[in-house]
Amino acid sequence: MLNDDMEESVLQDSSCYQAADQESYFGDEGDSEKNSLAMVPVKATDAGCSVRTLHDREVTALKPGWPLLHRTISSSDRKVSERSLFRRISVVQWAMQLPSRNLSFHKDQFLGLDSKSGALVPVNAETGMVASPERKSTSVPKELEGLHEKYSSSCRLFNYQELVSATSNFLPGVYFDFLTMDFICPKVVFIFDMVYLPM
Amino acid sequence: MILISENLIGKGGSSQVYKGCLPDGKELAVKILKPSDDVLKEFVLEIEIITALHHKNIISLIGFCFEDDNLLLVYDFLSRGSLEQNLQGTQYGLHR
Repeated sequence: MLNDDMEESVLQDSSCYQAADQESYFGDEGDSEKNSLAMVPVKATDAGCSVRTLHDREVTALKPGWPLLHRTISSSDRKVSERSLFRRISVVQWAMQLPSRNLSFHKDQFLGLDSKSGALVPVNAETGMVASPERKSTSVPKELEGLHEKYSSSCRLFNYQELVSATSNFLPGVYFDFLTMDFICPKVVFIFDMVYLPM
Repeated sequence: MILISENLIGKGGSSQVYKGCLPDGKELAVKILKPSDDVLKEFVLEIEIITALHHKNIISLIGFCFEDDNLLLVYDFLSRGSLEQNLQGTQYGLHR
């Protein structure tokens, strides 16, 4: 059962990637959710991923479009090569590649997609963590320090907004299956604080 | 079964559990811990224990979230009825 579940979730993950590739639409939260894991992929492996994470050197090295035209035009006229870039990808994707206006980053920094703002933000190349200044400044309680690192192999760190939207703002009504009258109790709750729950 | 609303799937002394769905279709049970003196301790303890346990009857922890004062635990969603239903073998009982 457990294995089945795991397999299923793997399948869902890959289908999610496929969908993202086909639609070439950055707003797919299945992917942005992955980024919020603080595990932003730092190497571009295929067309789908390259949109999300680009080394800033690679941004300038990107030369899609018509190869023949490239040779004659792109070296002399950079604007033209940028325009052909626009044609290959959606406007949204193009916008995602633009560096943020108030962003200052070093040459060797990697860029990742911030799941909240949708902006390109510097990413720590070693940890894959979004190197956002606000995350550093928020004081994490002592008890929670290193929690994510400790369980990073089995647990992901969710973004609060992501869970708010996953549960429809913690509002009722959307998911209950009236046909089967099926409702759930995660069994773990009985271990902790919900032993009195069923009546 | 304490079923306050259709999306609120469980309620306990120190937490509430909601059903959620990620954009990729994966279903979740999101447990929100109520603020209390020991809430941080409980949060860490629950993560510690659940990640250490591997059993088909114990739902697995997918992840967690701590932002500002919000402490949330995210579990796999199991649509198998309540504990009572499982114990009695009446999985599709209609009592709510």
